Amino acid sequence: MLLSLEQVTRLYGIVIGVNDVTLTLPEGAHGILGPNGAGKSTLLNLITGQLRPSKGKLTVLGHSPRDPALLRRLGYLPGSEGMYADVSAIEWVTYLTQLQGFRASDARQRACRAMERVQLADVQDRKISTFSRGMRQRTRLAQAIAHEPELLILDEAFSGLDPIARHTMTTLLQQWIAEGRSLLIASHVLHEIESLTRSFLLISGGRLLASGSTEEISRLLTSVPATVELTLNEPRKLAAQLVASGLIDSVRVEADRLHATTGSGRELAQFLAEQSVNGALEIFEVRSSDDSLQDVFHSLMKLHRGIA
Amino acid sequence: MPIHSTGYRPWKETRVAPWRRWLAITTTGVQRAWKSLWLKRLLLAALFPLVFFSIPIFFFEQSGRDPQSWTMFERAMRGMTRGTPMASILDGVPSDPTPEQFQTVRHSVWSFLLLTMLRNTQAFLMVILVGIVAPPLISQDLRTRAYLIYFSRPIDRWEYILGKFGVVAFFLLLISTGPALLLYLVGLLLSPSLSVFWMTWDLPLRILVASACLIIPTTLGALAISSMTLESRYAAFSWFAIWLMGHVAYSSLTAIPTFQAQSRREVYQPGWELLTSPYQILGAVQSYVFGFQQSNQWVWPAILLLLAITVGSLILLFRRVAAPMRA
Amino acid sequence: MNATLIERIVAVFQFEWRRALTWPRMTWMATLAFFPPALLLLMRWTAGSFEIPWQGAAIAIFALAPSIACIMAVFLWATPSISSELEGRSWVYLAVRPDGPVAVLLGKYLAAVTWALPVGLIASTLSTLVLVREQVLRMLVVQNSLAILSCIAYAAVFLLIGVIVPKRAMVVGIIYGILFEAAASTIPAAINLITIQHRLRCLLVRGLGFDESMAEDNVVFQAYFGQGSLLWHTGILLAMTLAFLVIAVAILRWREFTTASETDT
Repeated sequence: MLLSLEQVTRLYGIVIGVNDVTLTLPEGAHGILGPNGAGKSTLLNLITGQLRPSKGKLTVLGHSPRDPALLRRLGYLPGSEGMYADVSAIEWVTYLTQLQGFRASDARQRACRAMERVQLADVQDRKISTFSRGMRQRTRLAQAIAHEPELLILDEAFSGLDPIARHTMTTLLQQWIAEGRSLLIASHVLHEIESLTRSFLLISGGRLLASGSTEEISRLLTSVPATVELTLNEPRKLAAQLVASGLIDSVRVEADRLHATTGSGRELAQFLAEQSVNGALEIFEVRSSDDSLQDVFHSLMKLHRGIA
Repeated sequence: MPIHSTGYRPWKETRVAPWRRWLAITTTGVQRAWKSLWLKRLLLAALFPLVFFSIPIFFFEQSGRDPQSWTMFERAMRGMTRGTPMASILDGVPSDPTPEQFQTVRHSVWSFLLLTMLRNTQAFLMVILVGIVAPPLISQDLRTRAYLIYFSRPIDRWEYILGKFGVVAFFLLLISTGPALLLYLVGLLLSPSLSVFWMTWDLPLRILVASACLIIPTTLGALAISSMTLESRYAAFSWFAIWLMGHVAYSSLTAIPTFQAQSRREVYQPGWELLTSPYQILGAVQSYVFGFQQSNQWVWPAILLLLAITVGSLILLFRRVAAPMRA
Repeated sequence: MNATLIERIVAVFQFEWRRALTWPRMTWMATLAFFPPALLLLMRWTAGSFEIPWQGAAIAIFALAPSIACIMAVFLWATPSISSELEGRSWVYLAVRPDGPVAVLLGKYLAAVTWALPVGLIASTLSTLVLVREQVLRMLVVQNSLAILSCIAYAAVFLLIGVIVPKRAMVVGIIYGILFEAAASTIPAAINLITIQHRLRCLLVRGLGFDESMAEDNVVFQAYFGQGSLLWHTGILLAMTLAFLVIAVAILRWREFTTASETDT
């Protein structure tokens, strides 16, 4: 068992960081997805022992988060940079590997291997202050993997990276997973996580809204009424047709736009495609609420609160 | 209109005058510093000496019509005046002074009490307050590269420096000038008649000049130290270290001459030794402003030293603030 | 993976020492080391024909070297131990290491002591050579021993202050130094027994064999002499040091510091 949380809550005074989260995760790769301020970093701080839960219990790899035995098996890449600008990359990674519990020569070797792995071996003796953003991010990854942990935890690992650096990071992490190690990656960008794992935890407002694979979450979402916006030539005509068809829950027309909510997204899409092919309608634009992650969370929050 | 053809729309409303831009830096800095609970406690503590120093003023003014108050006044002043020129001034006044004698010493007594408050209690609070407020003002901007944001706006270096200066000066005004002016006002209100103002009208001006002598070089010096490092704690250490080492140097150098003078039952008047301590330098200049130490030949070197610190700090600040952008 | 906690502490100590080898830091250390002898030299020059008594010289050297110089040296190092990591947002990297916070704290303590020691020893030695003409060797041994104990003890107390109040560590450290060590230690009452300064002063007068009759009519000097032997005061000082370190470690294990923690100073 990778992770087990039982009614875990964390409060900052009267502000809720994480709210009554219960989950278990098997070993493997998992993504924690949520908008900014959702509670991802708080959850990771709880898992890595930086914070204690105000309520509830959690174990990581069978240990309490503050157990030194766990910290030996865990590698963490935090969201904030926080590196020493005046030391070289290899020196910094070696130092942290020594703190992990390795003797100096062993730590140095491991640090060098990690720097090779993140493709920074040829610049490892340069001061960190001379590194680009992507190079600093890879150095931070090196310190997290140098001691070859069983579980790697990443908080916004792709933040601020250009497309090439993102690709490099993705490749590294895919290799990591292929070696059979576990990964927990937190992000607010869906496609960053999708490239690494099909298992997600969706968090918003400190609550666990959904967990499972993308297919399971999609199935969940199709039962949640979605909002569709159409720009077309005859919105009123379509509105009448949709009402008659019974495929929508509500409809609203504004100028050349039509807004509809539906619980039968698939059927509606089929209907609109048929109308468009038949030439009965000229549809210029279709927007679905599921297009943005924010809307996904919004829908899930409605479901969670029992509104949808 | 499509959004892509909207284009950049310049601000059409009225902007503030350019010479007021530095105020934005000052007000933001003050608001940030104001959040500190310790700072608020310090500002509150700055008002306590006001009560303490009001008492001798009250007794002094009352002694004009109540001889017993003169005794109370002498008692209140005894510890404060030992070893100072004020002691010899008061020694010349009998225990039952005539109105003329009373008027003669009034200005000196008020000056002395205002100076003592500024020099002793407020100077100590000033060191602590500047040590809290000043060190992160420029060092944090350098460390976080906030100067890039500042200078991407249409402000000059002098406006930036003036804005930062305003933050520290604001709080210093609250703990030194403010209480001193309040003490003067309280003294007026505790006097038998407001006509006392005509005999002491120059004192508020002297308070302002003495405050300027305190605020300008210390603030610029503290900001210069802050600009020298990216770590505010080193700036804080340097600030406190300068004051402590100065005080230690002055105490050590005057220990033997003071001992020798005491064995001759004299009071030792420090000479060049006062130039080793920032506290003594400020004290000498402030004493001169209030009309004491007129014959001390080391006052003018102290004034020149303060000027040198002011100018030197300004030059350093201008260079350091521009340094990251030259790199 | 077989490094003990001690080896990890040594790793931190070596890393911090290497990082600290910068010109500004070394300039400050040199200033602190040479400030006392320079001042005492100036004092001798201004004293003219006045002969500084041996006991007076001992007190002057003690006040400047083992006290001021050592205190300022360890203050600069030890007080911001935690706040520097929090401010730089590097604390999290240390905290997710097994016993990382403890190793960092004690490693930085060692670094603080070993950086301050040369300052204290240079200051004490040169100050003694400048000011003292008789029993020079005895003075050297006592003042240097006091410098060592001062560095060890003050580093521990400033470290503890830095752990308790990381946000305002420097200011609280200054206030502690002035109100407690400088002022309270001269009060001849129970309060001075818990100050480091009192113990060091007692060691000074006992180590140099001061004439105890000085304290008969002088309330301040009574605070200097106290009760107990050299061994007693040294033992108490070392016990206080150990207690400060243990409390600091305990607080560090219990407290939560997150990446959101940041100091303004």
